[in-house]
Amino acid sequence: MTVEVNSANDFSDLVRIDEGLIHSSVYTSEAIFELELARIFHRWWVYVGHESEVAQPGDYCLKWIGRQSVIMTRSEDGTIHLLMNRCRHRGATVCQADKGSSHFFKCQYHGWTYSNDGELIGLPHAAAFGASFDKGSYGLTRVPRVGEYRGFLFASLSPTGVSLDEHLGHSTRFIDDFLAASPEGRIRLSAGIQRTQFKGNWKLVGQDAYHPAVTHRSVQEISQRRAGTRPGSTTASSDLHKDLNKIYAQGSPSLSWDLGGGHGRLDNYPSKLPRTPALLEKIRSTEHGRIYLELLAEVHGEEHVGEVLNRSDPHMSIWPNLMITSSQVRNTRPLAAGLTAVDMWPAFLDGVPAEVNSERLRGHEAFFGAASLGSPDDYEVFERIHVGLQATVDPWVLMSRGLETEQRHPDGTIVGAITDEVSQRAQLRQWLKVMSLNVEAAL
Amino acid sequence: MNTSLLTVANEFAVVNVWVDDSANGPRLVLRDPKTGERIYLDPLELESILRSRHRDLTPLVDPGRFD
Repeated sequence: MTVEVNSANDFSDLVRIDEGLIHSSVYTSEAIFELELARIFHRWWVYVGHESEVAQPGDYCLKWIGRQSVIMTRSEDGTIHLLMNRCRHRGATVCQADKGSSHFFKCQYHGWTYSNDGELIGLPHAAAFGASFDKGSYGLTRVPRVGEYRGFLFASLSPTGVSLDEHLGHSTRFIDDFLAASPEGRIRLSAGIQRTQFKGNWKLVGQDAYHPAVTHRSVQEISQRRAGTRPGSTTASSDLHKDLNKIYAQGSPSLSWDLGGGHGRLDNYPSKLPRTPALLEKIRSTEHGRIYLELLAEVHGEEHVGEVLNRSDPHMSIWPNLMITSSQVRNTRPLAAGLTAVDMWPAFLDGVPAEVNSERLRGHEAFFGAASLGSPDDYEVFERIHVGLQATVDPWVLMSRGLETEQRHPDGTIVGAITDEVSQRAQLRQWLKVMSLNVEAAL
Repeated sequence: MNTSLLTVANEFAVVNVWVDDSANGPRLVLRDPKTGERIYLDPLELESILRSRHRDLTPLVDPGRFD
């Protein structure tokens, strides 16, 4: 079929959720990609950064909203600002470094200088701009809407639209779960940034639990070899990786969720529950582990510590560009229909022994690191998808797993088995809605 | 005897810093490593800066100050 997208407002022919069919062009068309930038990333709520990335007054870092460069700063009074990284004179980017400390930013073209709250504090030879030139009107442009939930900053380039609260919907309680692993309820993204790119579409990232037993089979085999169990066995153990066959398989008690608003999550809590005693015993085997458990018990009560730990991996995607998975914060950045950047921040917990955070980092590196056992295989598969989707004789992607058995709840959520494609349909359902919504306008 | 030279830099500026002992009393030296331009700040001057807010430095940072 011919895909006309330049003036298309209705993508329901391409994204047939109720049939579980998605047209390949949704993943490969540069024309659709440009519309995604305009209608999603440059208009809807997107994740921008975490408050801990500008922990001190004077700190700044560069972020992206779609393909628009943004400066995230913390001014002297502690306020966090999101400012367009574009000099008000001739449009050059004012900041170039990924991060730094500076209370003032000086454009290197003509020297226009801004304070880190955006005010234009000076420029050379201002008189030539005329008597009516008002410095006060030429500060760095502020991002129209900024919202925050427990340190996670979101922004919208549209001055109007749904509130952040409405956008986040049911996802916030799982952000709470992630933070509850810290006795202080706080994380800090101070371990560094892991930046990767793959040649494929941004919508391929995340929320598939049908693949681990195959794509990550090597991880399971290594874990089982170390544990002395044979490959392919479903022997219960305290290490989740050893049981990918069991957890991500038909009959697993784990679940996949559509939380509404495009958000989804993979819920492994039912699989983790019977392993709680083994988990606690493993943590108690070290001094720092014992201290950590005591700290959590003081906050949550000893009887709830196991549950808090088991729920601390929300394995959630907040549409369109944030994932909170395992011990990391992950941001997906669309660069082209066939090129995506994935940035991961391992999250340290505030208020715990240093060794606890070291273990979190080692665990992240082992499976999600750029040269790890896990993530590189995901990117390999995504790149194979992008090549495969260039074939147009049969242009349909099947996204129907669990379509006939998923259950809808009165609160708008949908749930299915862990290997069902509930979460992916959640993302595409929201994609269809937002791409078609009051197009070519602010919301 | 002067202390070791330190460098404080970001994408906007690079400054060398050390404590100079060559005068009758100690002074903090700030030097531009590209031009050699420097200023010697005595403790009272330093105290006045530390009692300032960053906003108070705006007149110094303004690139139009020498117009």
